Amino acid sequence: MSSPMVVKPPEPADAGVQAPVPALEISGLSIALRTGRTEKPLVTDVSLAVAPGEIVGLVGESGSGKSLTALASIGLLPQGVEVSAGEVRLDGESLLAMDRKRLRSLCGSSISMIFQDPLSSLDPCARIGNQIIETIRAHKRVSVGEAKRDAVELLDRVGIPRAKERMRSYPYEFSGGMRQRVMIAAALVLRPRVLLADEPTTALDVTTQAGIVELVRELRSEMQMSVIWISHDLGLVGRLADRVAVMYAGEIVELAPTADLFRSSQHPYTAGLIRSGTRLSYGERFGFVPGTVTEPGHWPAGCRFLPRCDRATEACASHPLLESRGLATVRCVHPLTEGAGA
Amino acid sequence: MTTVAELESVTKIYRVRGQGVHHVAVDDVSFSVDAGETLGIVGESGSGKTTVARMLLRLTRPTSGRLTIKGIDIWAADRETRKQLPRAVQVIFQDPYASLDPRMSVGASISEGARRVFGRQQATRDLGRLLDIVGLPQRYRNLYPRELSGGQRQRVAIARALAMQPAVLVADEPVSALDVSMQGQVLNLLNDLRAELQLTCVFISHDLGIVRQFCERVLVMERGKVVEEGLPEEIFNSPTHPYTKSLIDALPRMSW
Repeated sequence: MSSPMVVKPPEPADAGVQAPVPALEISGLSIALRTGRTEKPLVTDVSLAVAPGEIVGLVGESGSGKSLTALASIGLLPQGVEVSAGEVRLDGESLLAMDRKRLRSLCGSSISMIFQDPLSSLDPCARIGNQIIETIRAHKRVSVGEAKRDAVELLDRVGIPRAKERMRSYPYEFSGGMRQRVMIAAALVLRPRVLLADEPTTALDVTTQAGIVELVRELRSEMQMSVIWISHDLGLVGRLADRVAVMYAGEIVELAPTADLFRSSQHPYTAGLIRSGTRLSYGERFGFVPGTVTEPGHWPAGCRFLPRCDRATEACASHPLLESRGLATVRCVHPLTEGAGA
Repeated sequence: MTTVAELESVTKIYRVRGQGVHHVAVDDVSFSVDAGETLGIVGESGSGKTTVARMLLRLTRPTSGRLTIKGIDIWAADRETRKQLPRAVQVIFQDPYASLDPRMSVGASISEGARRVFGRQQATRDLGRLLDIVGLPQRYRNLYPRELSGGQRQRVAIARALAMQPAVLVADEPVSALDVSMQGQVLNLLNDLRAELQLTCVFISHDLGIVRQFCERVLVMERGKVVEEGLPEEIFNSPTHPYTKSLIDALPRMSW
């Protein structure tokens, strides 16, 4: 438990010299719920760039806006929820301004998403092999035979035993972990540049979870794939991501390289999350963040974390900006490294 | 120490319909829980930990073996004998969104069972105290589950279980549906109540980290069998079974 994990930064991400073009760039993204003439902000001013081959973790509790940020990126926002400002670019091309036809052709082939619940994303009445073949043939002019070969290869790759036989199985014949592997195979079969993963392992057993995390790490180095991995579980993200963005009440409050975030978190909320996930010896108190998250529509005008913060002062009454401190950017006027000359 | 709950060679076999196949969900499991003790049961889905809980709750009938609460065989005893333990085992389930009746106020949910056992007057008297001990304001008795956060709902579920003054409290993954930042609040509350009320608990979780911090003793289950048993700290630091080791390796790390 105590041995520190070695994080190898991805080669493209640390090449500050050549500043690579991000594979996916979210800038100033705001999302709102529109009812009649009123607009309720759900996500405000989120900016996040993911370099080729980089894995960025997006962490926050339910209602923080992390899933909406990903859904907006591929045009899947629920009815009534709209992008009110900002831009999302895939290899420099705007995803928000694009027509549906172009977006459809990119979804799957260039950008792909995996959801939390594999049962609701798979067609219960179709053999899993056909579901994957269908995806391939919707994007590539290949024969059924070739598509089948691709599908078997990838199912094998994600750790489905006897992949060739299992192509004929239906989703109900698989366990939760196996279904999620099928989903991952379907999302990756076209070798997308960018993978958006929304809590894909939350429903799975811890050992299965660890296997999928390992798989995604392998695939990213092999395919130079960029990943945004969404989770409420900071501990899991810590094993996987090169950088972590922490969201609270619709905005990013801290963004830092993973090791820095864990070693010297600066936002009091990040520190609270780390405390909450840290396990101690028998009889010790469990860490937590006091209070509950403020719902959209009720956010304070100043710092949105203020009602739960033990470092709050009068200065927190105005909304803090994201400011760069060392390798991190932090949205807090009293960061934990205050006075440390960061 | 007096034994409150005991399982002797308990086995549960499910027949898979039409295929003549048998699925052994729980395989010859024996353990006991002493008064005031908290026993952790750790394992992944399919390990049989929830089936053990269901048999203790008299929701699932064991295929063979004996389950006793305070010396009474809960599956063999007749109705009259069981009446001596009308409220023997209470449970807190994983999902507080599913385990509370959405049309019942918090107050009614908490005192529903107690009213039948202790009578309306005492149940109403106890309600105020129960809200206090789980840290909910008195006015919450008139609210409905939809008006509560996940953590608050779980507090209601705890109050509802305690209202019955159970001999054994079973907590089946009581925090895994909650946000990480809220889990500690509920676990600390359970911890305080356990000490204060001298509760006997069975705490079921897939998270060996939580169990290590919460439980005095732990059983590790894999595929229906108990594969390891002991003090959490010992198991954590020197697991003897490879399955236990894989559970520890898979735990998220917060230290760097």
